[in-house]
Amino acid sequence: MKWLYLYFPNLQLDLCHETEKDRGPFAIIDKNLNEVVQFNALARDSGIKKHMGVASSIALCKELKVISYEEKLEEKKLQDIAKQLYLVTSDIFLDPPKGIYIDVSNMSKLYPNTGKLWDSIVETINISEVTFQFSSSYSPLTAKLLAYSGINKLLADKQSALTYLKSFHISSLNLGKNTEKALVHIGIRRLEQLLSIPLKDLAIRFDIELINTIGYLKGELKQKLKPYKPSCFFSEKLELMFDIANISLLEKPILKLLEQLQSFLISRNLTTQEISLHLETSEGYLISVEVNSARTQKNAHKWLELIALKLERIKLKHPIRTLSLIGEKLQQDQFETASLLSSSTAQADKEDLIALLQTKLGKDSVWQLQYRPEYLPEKSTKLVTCFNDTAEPTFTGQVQYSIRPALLLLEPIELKEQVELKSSPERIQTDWWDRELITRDYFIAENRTYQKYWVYRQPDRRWFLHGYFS
Amino acid sequence: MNYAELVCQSNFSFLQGASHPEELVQRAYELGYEAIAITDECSVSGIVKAYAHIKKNDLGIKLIVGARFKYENNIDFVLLSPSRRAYAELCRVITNSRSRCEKGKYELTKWDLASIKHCFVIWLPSITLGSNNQHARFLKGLYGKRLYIGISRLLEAGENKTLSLCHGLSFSHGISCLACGNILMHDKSRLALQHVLTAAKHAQSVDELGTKALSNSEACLRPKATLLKLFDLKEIELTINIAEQCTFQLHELKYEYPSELIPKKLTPSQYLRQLVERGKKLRFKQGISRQNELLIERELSLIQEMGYEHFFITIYDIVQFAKREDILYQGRGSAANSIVCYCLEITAVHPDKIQVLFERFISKERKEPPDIDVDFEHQRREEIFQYIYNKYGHKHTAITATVVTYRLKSAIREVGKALSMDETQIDFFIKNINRRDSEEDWSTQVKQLGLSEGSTKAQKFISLVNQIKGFPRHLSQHVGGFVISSGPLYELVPTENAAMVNRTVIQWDKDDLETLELLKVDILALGMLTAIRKSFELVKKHYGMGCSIPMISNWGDDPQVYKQIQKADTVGIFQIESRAQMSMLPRLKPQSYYDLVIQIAIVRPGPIQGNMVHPFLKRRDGLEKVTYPSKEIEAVLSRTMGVPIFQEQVIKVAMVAASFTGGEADQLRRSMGKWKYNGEMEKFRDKLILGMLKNGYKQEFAERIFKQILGFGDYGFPESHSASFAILAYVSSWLKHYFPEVFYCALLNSYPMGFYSPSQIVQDAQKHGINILPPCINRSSWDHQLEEQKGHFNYSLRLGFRLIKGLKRETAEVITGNRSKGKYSNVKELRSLNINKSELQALASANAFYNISDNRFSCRWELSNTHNDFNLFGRALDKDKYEIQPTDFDNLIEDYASVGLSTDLHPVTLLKNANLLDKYTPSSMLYTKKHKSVVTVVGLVIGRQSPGSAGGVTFMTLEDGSGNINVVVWLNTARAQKKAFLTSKIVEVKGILEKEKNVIHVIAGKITDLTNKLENLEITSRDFH
Repeated sequence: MKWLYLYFPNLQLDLCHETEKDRGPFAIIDKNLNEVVQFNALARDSGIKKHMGVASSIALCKELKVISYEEKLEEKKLQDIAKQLYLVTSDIFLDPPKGIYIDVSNMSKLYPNTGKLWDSIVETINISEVTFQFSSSYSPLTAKLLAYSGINKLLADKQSALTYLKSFHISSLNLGKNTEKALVHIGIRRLEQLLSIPLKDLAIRFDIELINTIGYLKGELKQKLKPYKPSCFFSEKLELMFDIANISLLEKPILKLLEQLQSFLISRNLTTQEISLHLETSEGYLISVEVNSARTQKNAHKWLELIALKLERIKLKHPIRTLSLIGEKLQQDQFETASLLSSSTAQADKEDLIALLQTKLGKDSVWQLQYRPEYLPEKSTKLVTCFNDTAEPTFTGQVQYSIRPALLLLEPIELKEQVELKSSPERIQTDWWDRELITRDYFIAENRTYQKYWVYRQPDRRWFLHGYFS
Repeated sequence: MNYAELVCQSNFSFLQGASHPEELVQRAYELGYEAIAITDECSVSGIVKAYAHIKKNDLGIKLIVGARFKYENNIDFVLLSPSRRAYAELCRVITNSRSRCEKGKYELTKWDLASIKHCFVIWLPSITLGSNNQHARFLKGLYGKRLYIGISRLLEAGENKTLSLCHGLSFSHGISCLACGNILMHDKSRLALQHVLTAAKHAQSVDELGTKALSNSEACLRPKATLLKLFDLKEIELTINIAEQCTFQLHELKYEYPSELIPKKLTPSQYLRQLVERGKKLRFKQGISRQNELLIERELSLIQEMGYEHFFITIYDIVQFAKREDILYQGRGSAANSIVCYCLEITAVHPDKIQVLFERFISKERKEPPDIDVDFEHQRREEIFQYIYNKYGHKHTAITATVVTYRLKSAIREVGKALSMDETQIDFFIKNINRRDSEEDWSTQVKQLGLSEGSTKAQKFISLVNQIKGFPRHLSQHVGGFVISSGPLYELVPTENAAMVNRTVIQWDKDDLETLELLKVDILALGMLTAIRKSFELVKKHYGMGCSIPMISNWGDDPQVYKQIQKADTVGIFQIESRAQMSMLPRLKPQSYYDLVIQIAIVRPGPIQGNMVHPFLKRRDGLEKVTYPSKEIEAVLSRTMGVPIFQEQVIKVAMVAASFTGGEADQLRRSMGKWKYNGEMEKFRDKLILGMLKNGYKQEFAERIFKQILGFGDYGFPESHSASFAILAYVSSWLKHYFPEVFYCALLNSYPMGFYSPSQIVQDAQKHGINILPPCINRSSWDHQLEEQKGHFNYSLRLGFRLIKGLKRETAEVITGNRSKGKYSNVKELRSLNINKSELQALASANAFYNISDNRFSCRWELSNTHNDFNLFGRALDKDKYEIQPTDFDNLIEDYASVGLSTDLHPVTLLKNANLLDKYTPSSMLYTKKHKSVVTVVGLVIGRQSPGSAGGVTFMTLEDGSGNINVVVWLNTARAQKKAFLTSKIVEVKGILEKEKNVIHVIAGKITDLTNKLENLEITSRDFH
């Protein structure tokens, strides 16, 4: 046995919350193919099968709850599993979104007993609570085919693997519809038949893909696989010479770590917007500080400024013994070429200010206003956090000529003074889909002191003040 | 104060206007407007509907014809037609701008603008469009005093800026301003619907629309008092001034037939008489009876009085072309079954055989245009189209439009999307609503399907779906209604491009043409005519006997042929081949032509819904007395034993029993088809029932008649059509009886058509002892053909290449063409013909190489060798080299996959031979079983049908190699065994056998899915068609 294959048939289903899955028949559908791809036991009992069309499934089981299939979710989970497996074995190759190859030949040198290696692999996967099928064989493709078939056996020799494989239908090879059809059309349905035909006879009749596949099947050709690489991140730990209880004294050792981060980033042409600092007390408590920057940053001193702002708010009950700095979300550094005439400095200042405010007040406490092309005044602006990078919408049509007050009240207040109307009405009728139709006639009005108001009247003849003109 | 609305779009401005034209004119009338213009975007499609509504309800409001346009997205304006000439100009501009674009779009050019010499132009400037001064100079230069600026007061944001812009332009360029509403809705309650339409236009939901939506509901028809507050009096008065100048009315449109058909020295009337005289000699060779002479005179004078000569002559000309070209045709419809049409060779229905009264259909009183549909062979109808286009030119000819409207499903989808409902939920609703469930309307059903009953959104959803239903979505092409005119058609009605290349459609549908009393010629396609013509050719070729439809029908009723019909041996027979028809035949036992006329009309959802079939059968079988409530009714219903069966009879009953006038009867007829959508029929209910009670009829009879009229609405079949169809049913039965192999061959050569698949036709042929030969590379041609075979008395039927999926006709011709040099002896010869690989594969799949290659597998093995492509003179192919042999099962699968049928084996037989089936009764042995006995049948599911008239029942048709089995599945059985019922391809059914006069049904008890036994079989079942 050289190759191990792990197949996770129901990753997305496994990820779903238990209560959701167990409440009733439940299926995951592929919207592009319009068919069922994963389903729970209750759905299976009602006759739902894999690849069944959505209409037939619903016709069979009216209570069927469906959600759409998301490959990305599965790919991410697969990465997580590989990350865990990396702790127990090397030579991992991903076969997204549902499979992992492991070349066990190197690891088996380390483990005197391959059973032990297998045990630790199973143990690792079990932590993730996902269902899986597996097999081992002499080549990656054969291990995969065997795992997909669900034999769930580790096969020790090539012969026993071949015995299984020969009975497989050629559709298991995923050759594409045309090749598969062409093979069926000459009576070849099982791998045994395919393997019995001399390669040279097939080569003059079929494309190279089939020939390669046969090579992989026989283990004569080496398959190109995508090796798993754990993601690149920065993580350094610093044991302090002595316990520090005064937080201001921590700055120097932190700077040391930050400088290490800086050189780590520079040497890899990376940068980051987010780091985390973990302070471990002598009692073993852990204090974690997440720091964000509005723009990417690698400068150690700039980071220190931001960290200092965070540390200001921490009161230490116990002295600190260990510091660790982690930078996980790293990205390629894009050099900014500053133009002499551009306002990028001002932009940079703004971003620095936002970063400072965010660090000081918290990421979710810094907001800005964004316009929205909506008729209802209270809906025409929206507060967004500064990290929201959606583009501001542009205004078109008649509405760009509308006159709006400089100061809009958050909540309209009932108008209690005499005013004189100074404009013709602007009628807004909208939002019927959320509640009852909103109808308002807006006017510009003036009070006795010539202050200009933006007021509206409701169909029930009640008047409200909604804003002030400058 | 008076007011005329001059800028108003109906829902024929698709996805903009949110009211029907009828609603707009009705509301404008109620508000006391003097006039209203319907100005849809580059269209006059809605105008006739508005006109018809005004006429029908006698509303005192003037209708102005106009249209709205956008030029280069910059100039927004409306054209109004004050005169007939201006109207022609408007139609021309629409036609030209539409002809430049694909279906549904238009593009105006500067030339179009410059060519407008008579229309009034209302320009709608906007601050958002810019360059207004430039546009003002341009437009003023073109139109001078005919140009106006339209001011609308919609209480929008920034409206004062638009107002001052308009007044400024008016002042500086000397253009008068007039008031207009920019109408999109008849009433403000349509705002939500208008938002839904806008959302559909932008493919967004209503809450995403933001400022793309209307900001309020002011674009509706508003009371005059409101308008007075918003506009200057002068601006309002100007609308009246313009409306007064618009004198053109739609009834002025007169249709002029091309005159080239009439010889110069003759009047149309004289010429028609001449043609009838000529035809008389041809049709009545033995001499004509006095009664028929009188009939001709009566019909001719009526035609002359109504001025319909051109119409008859035009159809005569078209059918004469068909006759010259040997294209089979048959006229039908009320006017078609007249003695004049018989003489003109438009129909083959002999006037002595049918008593459909001509006056009943061309009624002076009703001013209803005569109805003649002519069916042509479906494979050759295009030749007729081309003849008409060539003879009259594209400028004079176009096809009538069909307005495609929102139906329940599309309405649910559109509104659901607009209200951001989950798409899966929308799909779920659509798939699970049973439109045929007459007890529960759709809104109750969606609530049962999980739409939260109490929520506001749900209520809005239901109300909006109900509102949008029946809204037009786009114009499509009518199946064959041609409009032909002497002058350019675009002066009568605009035309636009259809989806099909080189086809143009007018902007009106058949109802519009009827309203305006314009005539159309219906050129329809009928597969059975193709099959009959091909049968005649084969009879001539193989038996040397010439046949024609009139010849066979004039030979009179042949008892042998009727015996075959009575046995329901009617697979492939026109109109009486469906399972419903087949189960009725042994009960009705048609013995004559008129029995067939009744049979065709009786087995339709109409009469069944109207509860009329059984009384007729009972009366026919002598189980119920034939009685008539009055003499008048007897005159109408005597030919159907007192039971109303035909549409004409129901109308006539309304006239004689409830004293409807001709005009009212006409309205009744028009409402019949639409009552489900607009509930118009309810208006007639009281009138009909009270009228009948007054004339002494019983309440129960009156109620029954009304119910029948409702039933007829959707499907009611006119006697005049049934009479023509019965001829074709008889002729096809005659051919099947006397020349079965010819009939099957011609039928298969006319595919696609009819009710059965080629596989079922071939099985029926085999049941009739016809020897079927598979497609063969050395014997077959494109079409199926008859072949003499040793050991067979009759001709055998050789399947043609046309049956092979994936093989082109041209390739088949290459194969047959090269065959003249001798027969093919190996596969390599075929390869040397440069036939593409996939087609060679298709031939191999069909086993067409069976006499030059061992089997399909080895043949394909040879074909797939790419090295041979360059090795024409290479080594001889070693046939023995490939060892995998196809099994019977392989062959069966390939047969079904490539030609859709197997000449040797049936899947059920195959399963039986392999001992995979428990004991069952084959279909051919079912007749030996007793009524009500328990039986087990096995078969391939070839159809699941849930007919509208059979509540709670679904029929399954099974096929087991020895014949078909009709299985009745009750709703509860289907529900309980849903999985087996819905998904199986091969089933075993245990149930109770029911026999009634040779009609055998199996009432399903237990259904077992056997599909896994034949997993790969590629058979598609015709589910729920």
